[in-house]
Amino acid sequence: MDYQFLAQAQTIDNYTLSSMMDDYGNDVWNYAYFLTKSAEQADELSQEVFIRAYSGVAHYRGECSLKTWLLTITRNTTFTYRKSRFFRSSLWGETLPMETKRGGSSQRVMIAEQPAHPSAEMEVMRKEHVHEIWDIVLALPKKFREILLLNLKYELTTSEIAEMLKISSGTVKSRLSRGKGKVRKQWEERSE
Amino acid sequence: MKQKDEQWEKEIRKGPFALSPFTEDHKQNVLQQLELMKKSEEGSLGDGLEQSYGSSRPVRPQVGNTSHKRRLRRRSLVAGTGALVIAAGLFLWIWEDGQLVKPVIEQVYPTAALQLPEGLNTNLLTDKMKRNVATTMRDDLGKQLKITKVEDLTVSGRIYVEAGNESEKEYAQIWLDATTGNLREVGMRREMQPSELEHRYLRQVPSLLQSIGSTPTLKPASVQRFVSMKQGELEPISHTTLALENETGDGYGEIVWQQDQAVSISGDLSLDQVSNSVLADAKDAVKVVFGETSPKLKGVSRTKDDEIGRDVINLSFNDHYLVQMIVGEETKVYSVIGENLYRSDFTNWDEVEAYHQEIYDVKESILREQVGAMIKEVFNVNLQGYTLHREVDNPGIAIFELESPKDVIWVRYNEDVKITMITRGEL
Repeated sequence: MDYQFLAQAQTIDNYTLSSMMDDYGNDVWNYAYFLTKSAEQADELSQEVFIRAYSGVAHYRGECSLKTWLLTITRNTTFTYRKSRFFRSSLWGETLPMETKRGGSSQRVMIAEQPAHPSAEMEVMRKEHVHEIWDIVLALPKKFREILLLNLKYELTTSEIAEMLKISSGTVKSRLSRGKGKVRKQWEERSE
Repeated sequence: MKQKDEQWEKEIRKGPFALSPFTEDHKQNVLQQLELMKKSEEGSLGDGLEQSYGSSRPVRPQVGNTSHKRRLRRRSLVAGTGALVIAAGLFLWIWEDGQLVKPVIEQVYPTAALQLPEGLNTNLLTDKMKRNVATTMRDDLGKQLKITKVEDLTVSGRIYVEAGNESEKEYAQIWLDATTGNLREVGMRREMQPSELEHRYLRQVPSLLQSIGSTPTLKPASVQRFVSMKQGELEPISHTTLALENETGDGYGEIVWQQDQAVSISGDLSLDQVSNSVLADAKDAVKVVFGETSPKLKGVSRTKDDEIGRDVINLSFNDHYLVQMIVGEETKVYSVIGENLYRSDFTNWDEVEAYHQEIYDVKESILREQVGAMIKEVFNVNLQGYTLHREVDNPGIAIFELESPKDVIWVRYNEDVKITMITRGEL
């Protein structure tokens, strides 16, 4: 859907809002998750973001992409949410585990291991790598994590990130470079 | 180096999770809340600040001698707060199954969500008790049930609170300390639609199924939740069981969570996930024990139970035979199981007892003759060194035991000494 008309819009109808949620719901949810590292908070925040977008569409001037605008709302909403000590201390718990521990080696006697042929082996390796890289990325300090993800996951340019975070392009470049360096180093250590 | 960078960068672009985290439920919640906001706005059109202020007077705190400016600010604040409380009440009243607004209001004012009808002994409940009851139902059961009974149990020094109806799907019993208001015991249960299951559980489902090798596309079919806190325990523990099935109804899975942690995962596996050697051994066992010449593998399922520390694989053949393998930290059990063909045409209890006696009295030599060769072939074990034990309460079960090294073989048989199960290992 082409959202350019929103730059002049004063309100959003349900159809447009639904399309926005279809197109950007995951981006918003993931960004909230990257900032909070909590799936529960991301659940709440992502919904709040679209309610705020609905209420504040008149403020959208089309100066940035709709995605960047929504990500900015996500960032502001997250910070507002987390600023409250009450909410931080009593509303949500820790991030939930996404998977259980892998079974013990003894079960290998029973079930054929996935890598029965090279492609299956690659598939297993690929899945493990996905988890590993997210362990590394989510453990980064926030100032590196956020910029790295805005650049790699959301494909925002340096100047877009600088505008969104209200910092200089130089700082963005520096943090991006350092963030990538940290991930690369840990990634190589794990890959060895 | 560049190639490696590209690889991990690609992984990041894919996102951290396999499936969409922002679901249709999230979307519907947003749309529903906006509808309510619109209705609320329409309802309040034409109402001035004074009217709002007036309507919120009962909850207005006392204001002392303050400046006019400060009073106005407070009045605005009170008016705003009042409107918020009214809006919250409206949401709670209209939108019973709300996912966003209701939990937030409940989190801030847990007792506001308590469904406490008039006519009950509500004066027995202190604020702390109300809060404990409300938060226990909210956090552990996931729903506020309507309270149906409040009683003072003077002998045990407790206050008893009952919610829902015992004969229905949602029911709660909570015992509180009459002096401190603390929880003493809790028993709650609830059956719910899969759509009602909290997202923090649902979002784990694909990866949990994948973790046992099952198909991650199984769909939630039903949910049951039990919450228990026995005397002496510190907090309620919830167990949530989600049954899953595929669209054709012939695939099955089940996940059990204790609190938010998955403790048991079951699911069907594809047939090609069984190694050739395991399959060949299982087929041989079915042939030897049941005489089935060409057993065909029909289904494979797995249960990984972290609570009891066991991993169970089931291979079913020809819809009649099952080969089950259980691996625990210190146990390993291998079973070859067929249909249990006991007689069932009894007309009275005497006939049953006579039948049990007949089975129990089967001579040891006949049993050994019948199963010795099978056991030798399936497990490569000579039964001669094993001692036979039989239990009166289990007349159709023969237990062959070896003291050193410790080994146990269980045999189930019927009156014709037809073998219906052989199991090796500690059950």
